[in-house]
Amino acid sequence: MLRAVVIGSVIYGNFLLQTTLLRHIAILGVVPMTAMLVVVSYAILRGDVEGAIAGFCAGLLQDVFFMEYIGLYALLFAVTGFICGKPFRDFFTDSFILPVTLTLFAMIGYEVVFYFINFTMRGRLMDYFRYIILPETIYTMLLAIPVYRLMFALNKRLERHEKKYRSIF
Amino acid sequence: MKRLKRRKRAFIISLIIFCLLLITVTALAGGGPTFLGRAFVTVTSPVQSGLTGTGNWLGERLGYFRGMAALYEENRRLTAENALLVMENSLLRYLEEAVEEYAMLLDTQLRYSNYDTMVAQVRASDPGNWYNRFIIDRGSSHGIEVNMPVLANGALIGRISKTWPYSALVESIIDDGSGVSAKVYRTNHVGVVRGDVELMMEGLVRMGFTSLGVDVAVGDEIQTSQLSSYYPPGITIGHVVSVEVDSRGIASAIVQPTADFSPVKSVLVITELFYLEYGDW
Repeated sequence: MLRAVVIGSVIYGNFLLQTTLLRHIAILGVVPMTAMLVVVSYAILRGDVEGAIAGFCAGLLQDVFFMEYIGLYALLFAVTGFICGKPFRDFFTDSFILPVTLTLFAMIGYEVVFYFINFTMRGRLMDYFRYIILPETIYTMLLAIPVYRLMFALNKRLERHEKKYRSIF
Repeated sequence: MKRLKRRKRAFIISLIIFCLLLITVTALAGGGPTFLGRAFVTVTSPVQSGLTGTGNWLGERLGYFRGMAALYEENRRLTAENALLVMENSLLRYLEEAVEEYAMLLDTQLRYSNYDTMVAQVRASDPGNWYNRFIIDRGSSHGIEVNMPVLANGALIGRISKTWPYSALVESIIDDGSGVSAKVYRTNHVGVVRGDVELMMEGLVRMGFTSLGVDVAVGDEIQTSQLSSYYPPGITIGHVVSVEVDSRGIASAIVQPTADFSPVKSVLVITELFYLEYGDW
């Protein structure tokens, strides 16, 4: 229960940040997709199902506010969360190579799928790569390590708290 | 272990199906606000306003000293421009009276540009990098309706695409995929202004024409045309910064929108609907 509230607040707080303050630190016109970082980090730490749920919530928030048809972002984030959590359930969590590379693939995969769903008719994938996908991915990857550290620390505290409850029973 | 795996797979598949159902249902329902959406948006709105306001305030403070010289320059330029505009305005008013006189003589009805408008502040901007949508702090309870035109800096910036009781979502004209029927003010040639990913990063749009021999030059003003199904005619979109002619002789103009996108802070909504059934493009 506590976990749901805490992670929900993180996702909600990130959404607030992304829609308001992050716009001011845009580089080359792109804003880092911190929502993806939160979802990917959480998926690495807690596995596929919980990663999918976190992705679903993060995407749903974005859908409800900024899209006319609801469900697309929710779907994409949920699937990304699921895939990122798949093989890495209890993986070695101290090195940063994993979150950073996973962010790279998650971002590019996600954006390419997004492109195919919305922009295929316009062609010119290379242009989209150059002006949106690549800068966005690089900028997001730069923030991958701090965000992952935060999520990791947060998750450790949550697990410690949960273990206490379990040992009582 | 196997049962757990099966349950996990079932869960993920049902989640995916749920999302697809959600998309279908909301698409069939027409894309309006949902109950869940209303709840979230209402709760989030004040926080977003506060954060955006703080961000703007910080941005202004930080740019304060850096911007001093630029401000002096701009002030001088604006004062000069203002003087010119005042003179033009009085000329136009004289012409307006003359035209109305003639229209009355011809027994036609002249609809002139005294549209009802409403000022709104930008509360939040799109968190992704594909679209330039933003949310303003006026909604259906203030009289905002879908498809109302939205202006910034006196020029077209987009239209309302979704409303909630106290907020509204605005789609921008520079978004890749949106199209506005426009005309070259000087020559009345009609074309379509579209967003373009390559130009979007520089804040530009492309105006495409369909006929040969279009007379358009750098510096020409581009306005909405009478053929637009969302916007009233005569609203400034921007000015031409360059003209390209392709191998078939068809011209396209790169237009700099007058509306300032970086970032949008306050907008003007025309609270009248001009929406007609046939499409812009």
